[in-house]
Amino acid sequence: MGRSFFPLMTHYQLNDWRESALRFEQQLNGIVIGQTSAVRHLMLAVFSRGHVLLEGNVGVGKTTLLRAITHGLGGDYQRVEGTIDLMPADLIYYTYLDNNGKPRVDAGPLLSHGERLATFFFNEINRARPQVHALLLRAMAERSVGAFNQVYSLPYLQVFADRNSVEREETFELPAAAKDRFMFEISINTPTDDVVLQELMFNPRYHDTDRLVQDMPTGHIAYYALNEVAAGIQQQIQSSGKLREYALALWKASHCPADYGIGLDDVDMAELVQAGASPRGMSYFIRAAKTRAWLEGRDNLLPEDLQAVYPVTMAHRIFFNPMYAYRKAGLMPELINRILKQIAAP
Amino acid sequence: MKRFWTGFLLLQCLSACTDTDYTPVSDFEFLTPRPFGYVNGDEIRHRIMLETRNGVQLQRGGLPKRGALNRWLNLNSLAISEQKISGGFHYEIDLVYQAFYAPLEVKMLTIPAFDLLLAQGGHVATQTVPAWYFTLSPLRELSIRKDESGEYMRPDAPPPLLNDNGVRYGLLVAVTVTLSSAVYLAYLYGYLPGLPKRRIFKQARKKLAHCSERQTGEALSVLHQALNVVNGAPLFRHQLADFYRRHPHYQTAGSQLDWFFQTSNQYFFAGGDTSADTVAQCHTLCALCLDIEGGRR
Repeated sequence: MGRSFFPLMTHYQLNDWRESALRFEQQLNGIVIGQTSAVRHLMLAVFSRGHVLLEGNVGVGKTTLLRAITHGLGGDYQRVEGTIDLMPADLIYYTYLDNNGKPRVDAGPLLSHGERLATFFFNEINRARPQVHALLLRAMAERSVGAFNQVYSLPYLQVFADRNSVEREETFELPAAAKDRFMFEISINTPTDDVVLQELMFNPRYHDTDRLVQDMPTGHIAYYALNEVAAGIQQQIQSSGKLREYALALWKASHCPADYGIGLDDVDMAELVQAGASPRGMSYFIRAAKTRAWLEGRDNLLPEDLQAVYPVTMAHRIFFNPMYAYRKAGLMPELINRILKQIAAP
Repeated sequence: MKRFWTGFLLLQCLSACTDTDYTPVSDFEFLTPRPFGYVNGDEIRHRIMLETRNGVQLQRGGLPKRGALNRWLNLNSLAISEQKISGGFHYEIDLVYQAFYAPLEVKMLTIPAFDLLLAQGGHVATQTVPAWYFTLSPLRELSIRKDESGEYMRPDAPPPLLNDNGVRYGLLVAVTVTLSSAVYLAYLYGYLPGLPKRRIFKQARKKLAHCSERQTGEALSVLHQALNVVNGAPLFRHQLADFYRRHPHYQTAGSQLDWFFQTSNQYFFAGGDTSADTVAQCHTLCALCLDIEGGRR
């Protein structure tokens, strides 16, 4: 596909894009096996132009998956490791002495690829300081960075950040504002299917991830067209009045679950939620649901689209009161599950 | 010098062969309560959630023993639950400590750190549970005041008994109402032999009878509500397979239920155009479900 920017995507063009997207999804599932749910959510994020917070153990295929996405979309890929001494300036520029012994200033990882930067992977983001999170907030929200007295535009930037769930020492919890910039929080867990595990262990194809990614066909989807496609999808998919009522009820339930008759064991529901999902979260929620409807080949939103993306868009946007925060790992999935089971549509 | 370089290179090769990335623990969470506001004798509960990798098992001998840990801290109970997950194990370790320290002013104390021992074959690794800091407060101020009106340190007077006649009458009324409700519910659910059963789709059929041919939305909603009651939660089209697994007798109405959800989605979420006989088909589906509910199909 060439570098053409459509004023408005036609129905037929979006159908072609869907076929390409589904083919791309199939290819990703062939590269990182046993992660169909995570791959589907990443596809939704790519075609909704949302940033993604990944959570998972080491060695489950997060980097391979992101490299495969980058390879499929084209564009440039940049990876940064979060460390306690990383400062915002380290992302913007770095200084060194050149061969002649003269000081040089070069663009840092966020700027060195210019507008071609399509995938930015921030590994172990919770090891970086809040100052770095703050810089990333602007890059994510506005897709631009100010440096050297000018504004650098990153129109195709999509940020993927990873949180290490094992070690918690010397880490900085992401503030609510930073979490809210991420469309999804996706868990990538070790596959549980024995067939998949055996395949990963014994099939040499999965031992050389470089070759695995390089062998993947590329060129079906161009990173620089995704913004237009995403806008076309959002315009094409329609929602009815009943569906809007249902979506609103789901959002309100994230703030006041007790009002919808939702209860959890050993929890005072009136005290549980300190803050529910933000309006930006709701916007992301509907954008992702519309993209799912498009991938399913429909022109209208159904409740199942909302249900499919509710956990990944809401779980990191609901904040519990401190007295329940230490039980969050168990309470949050239960709360999300109860909300989805309690609220009917129509 | 040559011998030195040979040794150095050998050491580098050996260290390169070592799998430094390997960690026996895939997830570790240390859940602790508030770290302040404790007094002498209070219990403190900690929970450790641990997931291990392939074949790595927790060695219970490495855990702290019940009883006195030091002169002021007791470990009252230690409970471990083990669950096999793909490849490794999921452990939940609940520890209940009790502090017996009588501070004269607010004092910071520490529940000591300890190492969890993890073994795989002959290899042993450790996962440190960090020390936990909290503050303990005295029960009373440092110097006891002398009070002119009598002894300052004195026990509370026993509380006077409340007049509970009102509560007793209230309880009597509540028990009567509860028993009457239970009998009524038993009647509604048909548990009382010899009396007619109340059926979900019988009620739905009554409501459908009030729907005209043009009230498609109302007719669909009535059937949705009936199916939600049968399911015990809102039922959506993509959950039908699970619904049939739990209520297999409804599988005989599979094609009609599929039509119903498709029509409902079309009506409520995709423009609202449905065929003219939708309400009539809702009547037919309701009758079929009533037969299934009554065991006639």
